[in-house]
Amino acid sequence: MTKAAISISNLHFAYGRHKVLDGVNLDVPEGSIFGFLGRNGAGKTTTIQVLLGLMDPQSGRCEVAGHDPQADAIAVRRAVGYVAEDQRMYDWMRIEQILQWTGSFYPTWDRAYAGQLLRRFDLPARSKIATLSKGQNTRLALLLALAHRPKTVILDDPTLGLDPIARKEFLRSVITLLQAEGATVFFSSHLLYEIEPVADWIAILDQGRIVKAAPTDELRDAVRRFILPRRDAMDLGRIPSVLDAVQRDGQWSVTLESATQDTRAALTAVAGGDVQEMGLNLDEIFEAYVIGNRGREVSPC
Amino acid sequence: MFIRIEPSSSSPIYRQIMDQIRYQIAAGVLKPGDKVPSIRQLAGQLAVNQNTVLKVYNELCRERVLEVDRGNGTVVMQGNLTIPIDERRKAVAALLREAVVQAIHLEVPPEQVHALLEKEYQTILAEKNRSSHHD
Amino acid sequence: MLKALLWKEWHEQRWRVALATVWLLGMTAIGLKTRILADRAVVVMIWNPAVILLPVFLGMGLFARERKERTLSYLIVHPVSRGHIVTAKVIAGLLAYLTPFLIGGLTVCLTVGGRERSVADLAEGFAIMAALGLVFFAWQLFAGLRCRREETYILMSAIVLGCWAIHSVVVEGWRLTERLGFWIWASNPVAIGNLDWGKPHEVRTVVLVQSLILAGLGLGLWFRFRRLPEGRS
Repeated sequence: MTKAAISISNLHFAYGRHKVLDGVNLDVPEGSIFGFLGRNGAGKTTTIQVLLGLMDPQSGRCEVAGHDPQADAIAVRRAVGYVAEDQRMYDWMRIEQILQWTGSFYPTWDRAYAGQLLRRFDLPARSKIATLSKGQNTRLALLLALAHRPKTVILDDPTLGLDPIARKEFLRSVITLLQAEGATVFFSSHLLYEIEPVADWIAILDQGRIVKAAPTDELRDAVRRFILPRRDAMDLGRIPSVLDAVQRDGQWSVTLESATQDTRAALTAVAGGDVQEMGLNLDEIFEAYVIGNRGREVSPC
Repeated sequence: MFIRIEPSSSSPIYRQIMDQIRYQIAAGVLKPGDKVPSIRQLAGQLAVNQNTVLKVYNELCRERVLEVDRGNGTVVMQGNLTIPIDERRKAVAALLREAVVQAIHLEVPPEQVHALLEKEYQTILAEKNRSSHHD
Repeated sequence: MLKALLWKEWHEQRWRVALATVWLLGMTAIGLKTRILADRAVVVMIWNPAVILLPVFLGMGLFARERKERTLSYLIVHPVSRGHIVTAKVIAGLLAYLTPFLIGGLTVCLTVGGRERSVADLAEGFAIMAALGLVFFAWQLFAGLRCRREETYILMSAIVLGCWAIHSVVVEGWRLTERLGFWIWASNPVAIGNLDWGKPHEVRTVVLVQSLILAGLGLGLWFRFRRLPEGRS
C-alpha cells in the first residue's frame, strides 16, 4: 500500500464510562477518496474530532498529514481542510469577510484560488451568511476548507440536509477539485448510495471498531449472497467468513464476506442442491456487516 | 455521451458504465473513431470516482472496444473486432443465461424467448442503421 | 491571528457597547440637567447598576452565546490555540466593558466637572466603579465559563453577586481580629467601592488583594478553557 495520509492505531475514547471508540485501527492511503461509514452514534464524529486534535483519546495514536494531532493540533489543522457536520459559521459575517477572516489563520491561504472557487460555487460575496441557503452554506464551508490548498481533507457528513441536486453537485466538486489534484479525502456519511460512486476505499465503523476496511470494488466483488433451498437447520461451522445467515420461507440466505471457489463448493455441499448466487449493493453489504449474525443463530426464525 | 447510474443497483458502478458504453456503441450512438470524454470529464459529469472511470476505460481498451489515440484521447476502436469469435460467443452466452433464468422463472416458453430476442436484435440494429444514415 | 480574533469579538460586541453607552449617557444627561439630585448622586445612581449589569450583558456573549449558537465549535477548528482564543475574548470583553465608562466618565467630567464636584472627584468615582465592575466581570466569566446558554450565564452571574453580598454581610458581623478580618473583607469586590482614602494602608491592602484575585482569575480562565472538551456537540 502507498503511504498513509491518515493513520490511526488502537484508538480508545470514552465519555466517562460510555465507550465510544474501542480500539480503532485505520490507514487512509494517500490520494484516495475514503468513505467512512457507520450508523448514527457509531463514533464517526468522535474519530474525526480526535484526528483534528479537538479531543484527546484515552489511548492510541494517530497521524494526520504527517503530524500528531495530540502533540501538535495546530500543525494538523493548518495542513488539513475540514468541514464539520452541519457546520455553523458566524451568521453576521459577509462572505468576503469570512474569507478574509479565515485566511488570516492559514499561512498557505491562496486568495486567488478562493476567488476562483467563489465564482465556481456561485456564492454572492457581499451577502451575509445568515441569508444563505443550506446548499450555499455547505459550498461556503467547502470553499473555506479548500482555499489553503490542503493535501488532506476531512469531511464529516458534509451532505447532511442537502437536497439530491445539491448533494450531487457537492460530490462532483469533491471529484473535480480534490481527486483531480491528488488530494486525500476522508469523508464520513450515513448515506451509502451516495458514497459508493465516489469512494475508492470504504471503512465500516460499528460500535467503536472498524469491522471492515477495503477498496470499494473489492468489497463489492467479495461479499456475495447465496440462496440455498433448504428448510431445516444447517451446520455452517465449516463455511468460513459467514456474515449473515437467515432462514425465511423455506430458503436459507447466507452472506459471505469473501466468496471463493472453495466456499462456493462447500456451500453447495452443505445445501445439497442448487445454490443461487448474487451480488449485493452497498446498503446490503453495510447491513450484513453491522447487523449480520455471523452465522451464529442457525435455528430457523 | 449520456450515461445513467443507478446507485442502489446491485451491479457495481463500473459495470453499469461499461455496459452503457458498450450499448451505445452497439446501437451506433458512438461510432468507430468517435472520441469519448476524458476520464476527468466523465468522472466530473457523473460524480463518480476517477479511478472507476479509469478502470472502465482500461477494461474496454483491453477488450479492444476503445483505444487510446495519441493526441486525441480515447476513441471508439476502428475496424474489425480482433477478439476471437469463441470469446465473443462466450461473453454473449453469459448474458443470455441471465435472461433465460428469468424466462424460465417467469414461465415464458422458448419460442417466445426466441421471438423476443429476434425483436430486440432488430430494434437495436435498426437504431444503429438509422443513426449511421443521419451522417 | 490575535488581530483577527479580536476583530471578530469586537464586531459581535460593538452594538451592545453602543447601546449601553448611549443609554447610560442619556440617563446621566437627564439626571444632570434636571438638578433635582446632586451631581455625584446622579452619577452613582445611574452608573452603579451598570457596574452590576454591564458585565453580565457583555459577558454572556463571549462564551455562552457562542456555545448556544454552536459557533464556538467552529471557532476552535481553526489552526489557532485555545490560549489565543481565550486571550482575545478577555481583551475584547475588557475593552467592551471599559468603553462606556471611559466615554461616560470623560463626558461627565468635561461637562459638569467643577460645577458641584471637581473633575478629579468625578473621575475618581468613575474609576472606582469601573474597577469594582471589572472584578465582578472576572468572577462571572470564571464561574460561567462552562455555561451553554445565556440564561445559565445570567444565573451564574447572579450567584456570584449573591455570594459576595452574603460574604460582605457575614464579614461585617464577624468581628474577627482586626488584621485577619480586614484581609477577608479586602477579598470582597465590594471593598473597592468602600475605600477609605484616609487609611492608605487599607487602600494598599485592597488594591493588592484585588489585583492578585484578578490575575488569578485570568490565569484560571486561560487554563480552564484550554482543557474544556469543546468538541463535544
